[in-house]
Amino acid sequence: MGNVAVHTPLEFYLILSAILFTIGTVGVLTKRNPIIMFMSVELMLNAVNLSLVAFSRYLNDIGGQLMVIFVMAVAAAEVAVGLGIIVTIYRNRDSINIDRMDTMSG
Amino acid sequence: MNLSDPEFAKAWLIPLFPLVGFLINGFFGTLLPKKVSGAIGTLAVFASFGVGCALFSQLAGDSAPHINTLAPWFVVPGFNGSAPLVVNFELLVDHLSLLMILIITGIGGLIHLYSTGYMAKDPGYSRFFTYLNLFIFFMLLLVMGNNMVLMFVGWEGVGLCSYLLIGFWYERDSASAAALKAMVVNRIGDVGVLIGMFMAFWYFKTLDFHGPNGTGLLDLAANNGVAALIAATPAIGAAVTLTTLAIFWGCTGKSAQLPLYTWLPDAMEGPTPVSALIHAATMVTAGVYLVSRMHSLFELSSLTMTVIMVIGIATALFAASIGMVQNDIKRVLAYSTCSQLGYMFAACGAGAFTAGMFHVTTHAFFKACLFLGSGAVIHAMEHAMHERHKASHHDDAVVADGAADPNDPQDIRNMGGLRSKLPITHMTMLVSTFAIAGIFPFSGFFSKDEILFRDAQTSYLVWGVGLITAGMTAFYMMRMMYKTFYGTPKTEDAKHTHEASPAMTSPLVILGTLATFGGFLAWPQIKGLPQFTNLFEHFEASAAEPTYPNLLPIHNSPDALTLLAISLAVAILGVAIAYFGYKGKDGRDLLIAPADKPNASFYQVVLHKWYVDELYYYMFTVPGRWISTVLYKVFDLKVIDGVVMGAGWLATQVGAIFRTWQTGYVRNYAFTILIGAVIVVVAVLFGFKNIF
Repeated sequence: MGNVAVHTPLEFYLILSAILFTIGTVGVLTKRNPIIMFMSVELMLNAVNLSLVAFSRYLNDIGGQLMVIFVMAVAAAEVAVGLGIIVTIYRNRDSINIDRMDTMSG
Repeated sequence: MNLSDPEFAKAWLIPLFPLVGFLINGFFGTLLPKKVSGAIGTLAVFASFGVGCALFSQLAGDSAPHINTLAPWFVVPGFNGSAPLVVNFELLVDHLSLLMILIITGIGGLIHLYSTGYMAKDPGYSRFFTYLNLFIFFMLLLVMGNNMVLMFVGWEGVGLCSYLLIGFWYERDSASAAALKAMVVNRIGDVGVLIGMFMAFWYFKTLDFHGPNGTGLLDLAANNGVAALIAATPAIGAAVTLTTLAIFWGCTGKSAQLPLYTWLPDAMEGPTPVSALIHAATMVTAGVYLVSRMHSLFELSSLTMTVIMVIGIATALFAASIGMVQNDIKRVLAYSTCSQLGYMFAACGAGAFTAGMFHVTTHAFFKACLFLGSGAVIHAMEHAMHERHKASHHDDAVVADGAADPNDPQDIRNMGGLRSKLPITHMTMLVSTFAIAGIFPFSGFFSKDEILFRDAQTSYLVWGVGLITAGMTAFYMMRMMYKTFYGTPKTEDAKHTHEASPAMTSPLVILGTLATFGGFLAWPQIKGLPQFTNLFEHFEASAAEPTYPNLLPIHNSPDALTLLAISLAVAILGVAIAYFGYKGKDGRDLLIAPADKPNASFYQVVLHKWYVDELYYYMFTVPGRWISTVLYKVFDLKVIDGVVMGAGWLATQVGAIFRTWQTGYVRNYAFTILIGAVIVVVAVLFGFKNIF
């Protein structure tokens, strides 16, 4: 019975995950530097990863942890593409201010 | 009634031979030598003639219609419990269709033979025989079809071939215009046949002429089926009148009667053998054939019969008046064809279908002969002109208005004195002229006299008009003959003409002989004359004698011998006036075109064909163009274009609203996604039902 207290309750993980996700969301919506926006997106991804791992442990199902591995791999690939795009934009425009990237404006 | 009589199974060979000839010449004609191509075309038609003769001897006195069912075609299911409409490929062999078969293949074969000579130098030689064979095929289908649908296939087919052959020299603008005119005018008439077919189907539930157990349209009409219907429902009487009038409307188109005759004179743009075959001997008589074929139905409507007689005799007079002043040898013959077809309809309208069909027969003999003769004349003139052009360079002559173009091989004012140069052509054309004029003992005398007699029985007015027309016919035909063959040559070319090859003269001799003696087939049965059997009437009686003689409007009982003498006297008078009149003036025009008053207004009116073409132009073409212009400028430019442009305008306007949503700012898009995600989460948490 003495072992029960060492387990952190699931709620703690989920609250942390929600906080991290919200920080990421606010970052994406408010920042003009795409690098920081990228970092915010990564934060949102990892918030989700955290909740996946927490649920995996809680439900005793290894599937959630497996999925996290995949998410991290895809996120790494996505970062490579995204940073490549940002570098190209910078070369063309000498700026990476996201508000000036409005050529799709209708 | 013998249905699908195996003894008459060979009937299908008759249209088969020309079809095979058409296919061979159509696919391989240009690869074959001209002689082979022409021989195939000619022999195909003569082969059909042979089968026709075999059927003739087999049929003999057998008066029943023989039906030869080749294959089923289509079945339209009946509705409201009525029987289905069954249409088969069925050929009908009786005395009427056999007569037409013999004319089509016999005269047609001779004209094919003539064409091998006439068209010898034409680059479109095999194409010509392709079209001619196709024409013969469709014409045979027209007269052999046992239902109106198959008949109509032939009817349209001959119209197509007529179009192709009038426009045979398509690089000439006038030829393609004439072909188009023939096509359009015939189409206007064909609508009538279609409407007649629809009405026949609607009221009588069948399109067969003869069917099993007396179910065919004509069986119904002949066996009191329709008469009983009329007695039960008088409205059927009106239906019969409308049906027959609609069909007759088609006949006025195909057989060049008022008011749809205008295409026939222009059809002379085609090669002359075509004029002889299609526009004199066969296709234009299709209307007379159709009325005679359906006579049991036509007789039930006295109104239709009267209309046919009046239109016929009016066309006869009208066309003859134009024929009196034409200077183009083929146009004179074209108007005389209109006029003679008018006689045939006048006979049908009086119930004398046998007399009408007999005039079809004799007319085929003498008019084919006249056309082929005119072809020989044109051929000779063309050749002489060609030789002259070779000798000296020529420019197109400047021609004063109303004067003869010296380079026109068809203008009789360039001819004269051809009798000694073209003796065979002259002789055959002369006997044919006597035949068409109605001089004893030539064939036209017998047929025309019978028609005039039958018309006199109905109305002396119609007879009088017919008699005047007969006199005019005699006059203008002799005028044409005189200006072509007698007097002095009017041009150098006329002096250097030569008789054509035997391929061209032998059909002329055969047709001339038929034109001379053909009349004896129908010796008039009149007291006071020597008695011979009327072979023609004997032969056609079953097919073409009136079904309801008591319905015919016979009011008068004139003395046949007196009428005969009067019409003979008028014919001789007409010929004599023309001959001696033109002899005195050496071919200058007389009576209607006094030499000192060439611009006399009445002469000009007749010369310009009563301005009917101009009248039609202002009545139909100009309003048609006006309506088209209005439709173009208002409906097309405003309405249609408005709808099309409006669709684009609407899309632009709607887009202008929604485009403002596309700001281009990533954060806006991200925010939109967030809102969407929140909505989804809330919906999942609280359930869709509670929110929406």
